[in-house]
Amino acid sequence: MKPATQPADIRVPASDTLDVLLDGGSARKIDDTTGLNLALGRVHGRPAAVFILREQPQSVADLRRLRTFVADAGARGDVLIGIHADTAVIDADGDAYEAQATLLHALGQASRHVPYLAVSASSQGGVNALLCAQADAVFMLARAGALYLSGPDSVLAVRGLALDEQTLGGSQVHEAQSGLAARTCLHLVDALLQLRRYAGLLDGGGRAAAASPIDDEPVQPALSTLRAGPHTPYDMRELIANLADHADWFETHAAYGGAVITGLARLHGRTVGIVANDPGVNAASLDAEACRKAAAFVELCSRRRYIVLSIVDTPGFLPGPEQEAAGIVSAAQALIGAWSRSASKRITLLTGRALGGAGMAMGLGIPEFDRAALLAWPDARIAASGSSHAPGMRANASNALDIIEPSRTRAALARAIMPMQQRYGA
Amino acid sequence: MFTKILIANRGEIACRILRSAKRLGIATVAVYSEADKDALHARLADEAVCIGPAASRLSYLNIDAIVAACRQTGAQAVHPGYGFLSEHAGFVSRLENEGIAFIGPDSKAIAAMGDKIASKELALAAGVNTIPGCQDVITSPDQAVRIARDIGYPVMIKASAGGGGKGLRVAYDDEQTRSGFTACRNEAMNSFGDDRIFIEKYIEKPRHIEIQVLADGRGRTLYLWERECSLQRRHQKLIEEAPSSFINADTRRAMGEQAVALAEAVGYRSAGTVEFVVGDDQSFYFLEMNTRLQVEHPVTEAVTGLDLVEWMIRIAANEPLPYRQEDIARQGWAIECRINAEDPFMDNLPSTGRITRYHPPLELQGVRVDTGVEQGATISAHYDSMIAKLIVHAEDRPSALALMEQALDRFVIRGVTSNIALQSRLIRHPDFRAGNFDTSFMQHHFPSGLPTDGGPCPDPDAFTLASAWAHWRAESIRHADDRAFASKPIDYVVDDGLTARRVRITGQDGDDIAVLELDGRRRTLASSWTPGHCDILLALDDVQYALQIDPAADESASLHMPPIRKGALAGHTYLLAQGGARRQLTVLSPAAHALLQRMPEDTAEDRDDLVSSPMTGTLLSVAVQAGQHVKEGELLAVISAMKMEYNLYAPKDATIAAVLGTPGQTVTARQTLIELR
Repeated sequence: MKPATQPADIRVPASDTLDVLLDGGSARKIDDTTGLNLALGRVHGRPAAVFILREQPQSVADLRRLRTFVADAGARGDVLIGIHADTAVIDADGDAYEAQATLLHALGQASRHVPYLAVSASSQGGVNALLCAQADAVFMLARAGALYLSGPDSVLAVRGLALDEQTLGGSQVHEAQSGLAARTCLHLVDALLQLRRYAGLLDGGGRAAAASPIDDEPVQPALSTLRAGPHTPYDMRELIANLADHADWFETHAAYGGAVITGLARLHGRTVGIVANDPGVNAASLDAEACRKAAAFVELCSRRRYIVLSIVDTPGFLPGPEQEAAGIVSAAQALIGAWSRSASKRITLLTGRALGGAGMAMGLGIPEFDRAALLAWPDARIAASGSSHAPGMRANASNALDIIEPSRTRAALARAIMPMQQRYGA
Repeated sequence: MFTKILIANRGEIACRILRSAKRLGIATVAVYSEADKDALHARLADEAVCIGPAASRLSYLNIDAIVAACRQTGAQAVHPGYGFLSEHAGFVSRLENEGIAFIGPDSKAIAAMGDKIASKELALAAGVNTIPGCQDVITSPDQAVRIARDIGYPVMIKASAGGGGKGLRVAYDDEQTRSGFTACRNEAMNSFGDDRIFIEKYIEKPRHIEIQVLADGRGRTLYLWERECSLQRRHQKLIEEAPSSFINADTRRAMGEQAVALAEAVGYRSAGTVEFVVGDDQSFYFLEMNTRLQVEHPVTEAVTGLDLVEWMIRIAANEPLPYRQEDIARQGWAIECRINAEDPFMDNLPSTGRITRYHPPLELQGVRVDTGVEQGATISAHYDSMIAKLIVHAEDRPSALALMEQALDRFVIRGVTSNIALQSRLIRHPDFRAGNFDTSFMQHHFPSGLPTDGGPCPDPDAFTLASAWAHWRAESIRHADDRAFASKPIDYVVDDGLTARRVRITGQDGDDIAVLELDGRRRTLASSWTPGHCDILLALDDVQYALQIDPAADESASLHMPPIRKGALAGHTYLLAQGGARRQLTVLSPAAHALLQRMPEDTAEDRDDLVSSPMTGTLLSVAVQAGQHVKEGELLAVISAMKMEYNLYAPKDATIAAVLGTPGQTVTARQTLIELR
């Protein structure tokens, strides 16, 4: 492997970062110290509050100003964006602990109301890592960003292991193993642009009013042959791209819990969180990791009141002692609990099978009144756990499934989603 | 007239035959292999019968199954299409015995014309020009040299049972004659089980021009003009046209009359094609006769106004031809481009997969598209790689070329790679446009397909402006207030990896007309395109352009976009294609572009460590094992797909860390086969 150049070596002036992150001409600096930059502006027209934690250490005063900034942003309803390139805090008078704790708390409070997006642009350890990890989505710079609670020095001192920051908590760790990173980015510009893309899918934009009338929805014949057969894997991402407005959707956590696909899209102008089985991974059997990923995403969507579209086709859970030891029972239950508690309006699209508890884990089986629509393709099946040979309940009109032609899925979704209001914040 | 016929073929030709049969009010039966159970041809027919598993020899070549399908459905006649059993004399005899009509010539004519030596003798006897040569079967290299010297170099050494480019060698001297003879004889024995070899004069700079004949078996044999088929790659035709821009009226008449003479001499009935090789002095010589309907028949149908399939059916039902030779019209100019699932940027590697988007340019006047696929169909590795035939018919050759350019630019195919870019390049090539080409054209100009960028860009400004405008449209959709967004001028930097150009978009009035500024010049752009569509029709300063645009794929999205070069930024990078050229353009705000220049190089992990299969097929053999040291370019493995073999070579000097495939196994595209260290 070739050695990487650390972007943190490039001291990017705050104004350059803000000019890329925010809409041209909208950036307004609020505060500037060596350790912290604060600014307001717009991201695709949406009001945003940006803080940059710099490589120079932050003072306690910095942390307090940031706490106020974050609280104000939450109250105003601005999208909160944090660029984390920080390393240390100066604890001159022993007040750092209190400052950090209250900042962490303020961030937690604010992100109940507003989306918080974070970029990990260098190594963040301890509380700095916690500040970053609170985000709806963490964009990590490959080979530069790192998140860990105990840094290389502690690890060496306590465990006797010599590990560098990247090995401890770099993008490879958080992309594929912990699932903390929503995206790995090539460099800072890539991270800022991907963050803008994500923000562009949030409520407060998109042509809700201008979405085309349902009757004008073109038929998509390719969807009729998407499934070559009941046991042949198919490309769920092709389906999602066909359903999303303008084929524009943003996948998160692609390398973690691959049996489930999560991401944001717009459907007829409205922000929708997508949770979908991936028939190409473990034949869409749910494993503990996929359940955890889905649960976190369902909870995020609930907090933000995004409409959730669940696309279901799963034969069950991944069997085996490794899964049981990995805690699949509690992970599955946590996911089912997330659905039960979810405040999102939900649409479920059953493209294949929903067998047993796995179907429930994908959002089926929730009482009718919580769900806006339950759509099913003609060969869809629902079956109870433990049923061996019986094909299970076939989709038909009598069991309250709305059977739709695959090629007309978008039109069916439009009908389901039209009455739903756009919600932003609580 | 028949009331029910069976089509013993698949894909586009089956659909084509079905269309004519339906028009004549004849009930249709399709046959399909298990791999084709969702195929269009099976669905278009009134009835469909499964005749076996995917492998051709167990299905489309399975005479018993096809005959059984006829009996089961009561089909009275069989149309064989082309390839498969269309020139199988045994199949025709079997049908004759079963009392089922064969829509084509009789088995005698097929057998006679299938033997190159016998057909040449018949041609000679019928007064047809034949290539100077020796008809004797040659038994030794010495005899071969004697005969070659007699004819005069250069010569062509041919296997009598040969076809498709096999059993064929050119020799320019005694040495090459000796080695060529031996090689041909071996190849012929292995491929056809028949090692008879003969030698002819080799016509240099040959053109391949063929005559369509139609005979009713009741005394009337006509020629339906010629087709120019010189644009070929490895003996596979790419572009055909009618008429030929090379032969004059006398040559045309003489070729037609000789083709008819040959057809009559062999007692021909139905449609057939007499192939000639034409020298640059208008001399022409008989090559062979194809006793079937040919792939490129649509260009003949366009200029004559006749439906060849209809007439094959009528003739088989004993109807006489109501035309005389002087009734056969020749109107306008027709060109056909074969659209295949091949990647011209990767040396024409075949591509398999699911067609996710398919929009042929049928909105254009004068365009015909024959196909067996549709959106959602699968191009599998079991059969040939044809996606569609794109045919245009216009007043004259320049108009036909212009129409074909437009048609190719608008033809959208996604999910599998197609050779549309190559066809676009060929149609625009100055030598092709000037009619200055022969069968060596492809080898001379495009020996290994297209360069990565497809060649010169027809209009770089159009690419720059289209990508900036398209990005602007995408951004306006992301914006919270699209009207506010569109009301202010916005600057973009468009970077194609070589140059960065600044575009200012000052807004869009009603009527979807945007005002842009490039290099200080004011331009207008009108288009109703919205993001998510891959074809853009736009008017740039009132000049119409048809381009294709694809956003660079997110790693996680998989709409089978064309391969992206490094430096692509999801949401900002677009692949534009037009006229064979393709460019990757990244559109950024000036601030983002400036900061990007200061970002570290994309040091993506060395992906050369994994050698993967380029397409779906069968792993035939592995030439290395774990622990072995290999040099760059050394053969690692061989994969077979689409009836062709592809070699995998080492991308660099390395040691084999692991071999992950076993010979005989099916492999899919991008599947890792060998790990290097």
